[in-house]
Amino acid sequence: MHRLLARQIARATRASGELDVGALIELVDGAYAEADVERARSDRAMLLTCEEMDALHDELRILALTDPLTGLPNRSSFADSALRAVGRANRGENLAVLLIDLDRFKTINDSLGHAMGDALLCEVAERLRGVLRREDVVARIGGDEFAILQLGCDDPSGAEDLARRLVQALVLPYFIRGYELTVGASVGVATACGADNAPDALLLDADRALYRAKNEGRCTWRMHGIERAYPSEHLGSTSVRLRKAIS
Amino acid sequence: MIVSESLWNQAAGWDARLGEIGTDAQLVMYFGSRDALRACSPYEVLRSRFPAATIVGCSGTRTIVGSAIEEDVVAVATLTFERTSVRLARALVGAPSESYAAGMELGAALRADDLVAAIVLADGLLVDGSALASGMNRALGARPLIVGGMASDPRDYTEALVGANASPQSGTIAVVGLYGSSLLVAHGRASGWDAFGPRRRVTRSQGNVVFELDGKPAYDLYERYLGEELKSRAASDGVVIPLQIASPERPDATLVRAPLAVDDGPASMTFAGHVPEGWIARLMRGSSDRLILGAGDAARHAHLADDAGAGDTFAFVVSCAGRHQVMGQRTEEELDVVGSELGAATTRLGFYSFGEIAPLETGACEVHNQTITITSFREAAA
Repeated sequence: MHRLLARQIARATRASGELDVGALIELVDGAYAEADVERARSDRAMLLTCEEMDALHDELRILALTDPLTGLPNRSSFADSALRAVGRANRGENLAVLLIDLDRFKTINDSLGHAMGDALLCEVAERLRGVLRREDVVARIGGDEFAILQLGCDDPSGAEDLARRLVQALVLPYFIRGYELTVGASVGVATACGADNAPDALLLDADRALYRAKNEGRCTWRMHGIERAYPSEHLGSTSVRLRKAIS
Repeated sequence: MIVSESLWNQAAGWDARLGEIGTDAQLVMYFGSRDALRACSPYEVLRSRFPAATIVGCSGTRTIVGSAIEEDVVAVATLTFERTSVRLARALVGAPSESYAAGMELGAALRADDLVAAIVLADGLLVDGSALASGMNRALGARPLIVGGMASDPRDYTEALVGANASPQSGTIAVVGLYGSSLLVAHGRASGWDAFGPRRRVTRSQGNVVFELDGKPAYDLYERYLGEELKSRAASDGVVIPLQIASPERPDATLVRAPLAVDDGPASMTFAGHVPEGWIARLMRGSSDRLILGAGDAARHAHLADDAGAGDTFAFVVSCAGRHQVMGQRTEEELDVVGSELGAATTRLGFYSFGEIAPLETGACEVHNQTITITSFREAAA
């Protein structure tokens, strides 16, 4: 600062060699004002950039937990939700996990292209939202795989009822870009009971039930741990129907 | 090499040193405010004194004389080489669109195997510095060293003057070629500005006008960060948050772009250099302390070792007018640190510019903003 002051004194010194004190004070005040402006500008920039970075961080967090195609939570988000839900189940609340796999979805992609397949997945996501309660969680956890956490369900029959309604809803025809598409859905259900449930074990149970549903005719559901006669009538076609819609 | 310095000011006229300088100087460079250049007719005076010299000069918002910043002077450096030859190429442009062709033409005129350095002075208002640099790069390649600056005015943006063996006038580009293996050159460039905040993609731009960053109006971003200051400063004195830009392929080779003007209909920001679409941009902030440290970095790179060569050393200093705007009364401190690094024996002259011409890491020259560029010249011992 002494160099600055020396320069200010030189500037405030008249040709006669006499120091103009008023001019010097003005220069010193000016230097302080410049420093204040610099600091204020820097503070404002940092404040705004912190706000902006916070907003971007939130945006990234949402993106990291969301399936970009359907807007549903993704596998990672579902795992978090499952962990919390199982904690509640272990404290006595009922919980069911439902895994859904579309039947022969690949045929849609292969025959009509990925854009049509993507559009169908979005429609499926909408139907799932329509069937579920607000407190249930639905996520897209793979290409044509969806998972549901049914929280506070009454008992296994409540979960089975939901599975049946899902299969019925998803098998109805879809009208997309001039095409009528029909696909089925297989559902595997596992319910949490008792106090020592683990999310991975529940998912594995639901996956085994889904495997049975696939093997035993598709377009149907199976409950893990329950061996009984399931309805034999078809809830819908187990093959994919592609048909140009007639307007 | 012999380097001499002299000054003109309104009160005292030309100082006595001018009359003492040998008349066989090959290169004379002068810098001053636009008003001072008009008042003292430097070309006519210098031509009569140095009949064989290449005489070039330009106007700046302020003039650098050693560690001092002068407003109403003309500062002159005369360089008398022993074994270095000097050649001048010049062009006159009527519009920025002619700049690339002018750069090609000037580069071609000076091209030679022993061309060591080219010093460029160009009208900072009528010449598109980025296009000029591209043209020169095309003609000369990554070698030789191309340095210089865009002439400026007192921020009324009406007329910037450049002289090239003629009285200074607007629209002029002067390029001095320095030839021969005896010439030692060291160059440094630094900004001292710090990038902050998120990286943004330039999604819509045209030349030096930026419309969108990340698909959103660039104007809105600046308005958010500068508030009311945006319009008030833009109208009179430029804007103080530059952009750091870099090609996605070369993210380490960054450039600084200073905003020159804002327009709210259609919303856009105009910068003192091209901002290509697809490049990555970040906002920058400057503090006097960091800018002064940056000047020290530039000077260290521009320092010629004391035992290299013989004779005098000349340092050509070009600093951005925007740096003065940020540092205010402390601006001379950047020249103090340059002096400390280069040593008191080095003659330092230059100007505050509307763009600094200096090489990128690739060797190709570009127009920079908000930087200080220093180039030292000395001849090797015989």
